[in-house]
Amino acid sequence: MQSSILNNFSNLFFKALSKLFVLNLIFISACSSPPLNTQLDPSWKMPSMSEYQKAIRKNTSRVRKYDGFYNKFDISITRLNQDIRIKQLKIKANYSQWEVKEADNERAKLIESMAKESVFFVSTFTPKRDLNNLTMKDIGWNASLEIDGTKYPGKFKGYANKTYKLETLYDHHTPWHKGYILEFDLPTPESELKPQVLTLTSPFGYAIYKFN
Amino acid sequence: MKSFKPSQIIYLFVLVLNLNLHANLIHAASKSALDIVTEVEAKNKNYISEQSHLKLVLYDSASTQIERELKVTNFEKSQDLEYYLVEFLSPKDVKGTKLLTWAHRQKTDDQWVYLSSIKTPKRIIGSNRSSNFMGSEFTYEDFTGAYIDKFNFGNLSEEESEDGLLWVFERTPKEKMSYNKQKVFISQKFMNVIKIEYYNDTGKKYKQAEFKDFKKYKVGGGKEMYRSSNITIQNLITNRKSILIWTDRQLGQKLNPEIFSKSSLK
Repeated sequence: MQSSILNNFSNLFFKALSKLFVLNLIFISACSSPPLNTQLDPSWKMPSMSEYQKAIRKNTSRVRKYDGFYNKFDISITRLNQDIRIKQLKIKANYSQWEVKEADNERAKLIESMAKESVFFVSTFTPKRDLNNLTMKDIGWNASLEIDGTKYPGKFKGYANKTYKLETLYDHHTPWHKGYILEFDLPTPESELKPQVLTLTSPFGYAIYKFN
Repeated sequence: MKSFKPSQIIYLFVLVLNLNLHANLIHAASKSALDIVTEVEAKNKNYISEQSHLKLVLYDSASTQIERELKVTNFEKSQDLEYYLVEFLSPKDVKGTKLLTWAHRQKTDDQWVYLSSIKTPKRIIGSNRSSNFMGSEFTYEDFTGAYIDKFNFGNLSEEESEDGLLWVFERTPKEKMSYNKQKVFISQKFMNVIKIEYYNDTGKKYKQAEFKDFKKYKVGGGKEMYRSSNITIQNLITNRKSILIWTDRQLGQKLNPEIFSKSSLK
């Protein structure tokens, strides 16, 4: 009797194991899907997408506002620290199969940008699509960043680079959202280690995002 | 006792193999030397300019010392170009000697030396860059730019030191240099190099540079950076060493780029 229970249990265990094996294979093939760029130094190796998305989730703050049952807006803001921006650079280098010169140029641009600015990715959804344009200041979109008691005004930019699906870089961003880049004149290495409070004003109300 | 079927043993083996593969994927995802040097360059970029007065102390193998005074001016011309100008102020026999470097991000740097005795700027070509500079253990190539595009990087590791945690990695120059490889130690606290070990073609360590006495500077626009005030470079074969000691340093000043032209050397 005891032996038959054991046998049943072990059969079930190995059936579960075989399913786990298939899932593992799917997971591994998904992880290794981006092509390896052999033109570049091994230090340009594609980062793990699961680790990248973990970093994105850790640096993303989301605010949803409702008017009764009516959704006024759903806006997520992601702080693009140096770690995330370097990972994005490597993802793009591998997806787009950059040559050495292009990779070096893009890295030089990234260094220049990080040395000057602190950058956030803003993913917005509003039912009123015509007002979902953060580059139009006159309709009430504004942002400020507070660090160590000093407030810095922000500047919105449309997401110019259409080569990469934003959904690949930010898994919370859906085709119903619009993506923007928000920049502040404060170097990233100086800002990223300090607590930050980002205030966003919109035609639908304001929202506060805290990053520690 | 229950015996396992061969297929079950294969499943177990494959599972162990898979777990190992996952572990490798996670390991591969950690930071690389490229990430660190990119962060270090971003931290130290946008200093605008740097004007320094220094003392260069030269020691021979018998520890006899000679002192020289220098003025060094650096200027960030653009994202891809930096200027360095080294001028000797004393003693009399070297006063007026100047070394001008245009450090390019991607192409080979341009260098000229002006000797007051000859009164004509002389271009330093590739093969002469490994020569010692004005009798010191510094070479002309030590005064060229160390843009990250000019190196290939090895694996990254961490080490403890008196100044806290360090990142350690090897880098090999893409162009021909006097050294075959450098081992670089970066302070996580100062976000700056604190030691470089130089290795020759046979893999032997023959020279070492140490960076000490870091001071913090505010440049403006909320930017802060550390700079070393004492660099000791030692030849481990001849036992000769040279020490650069900063007596004054200013960062972030606006400068006229004309002072870095070849014609201004005269």
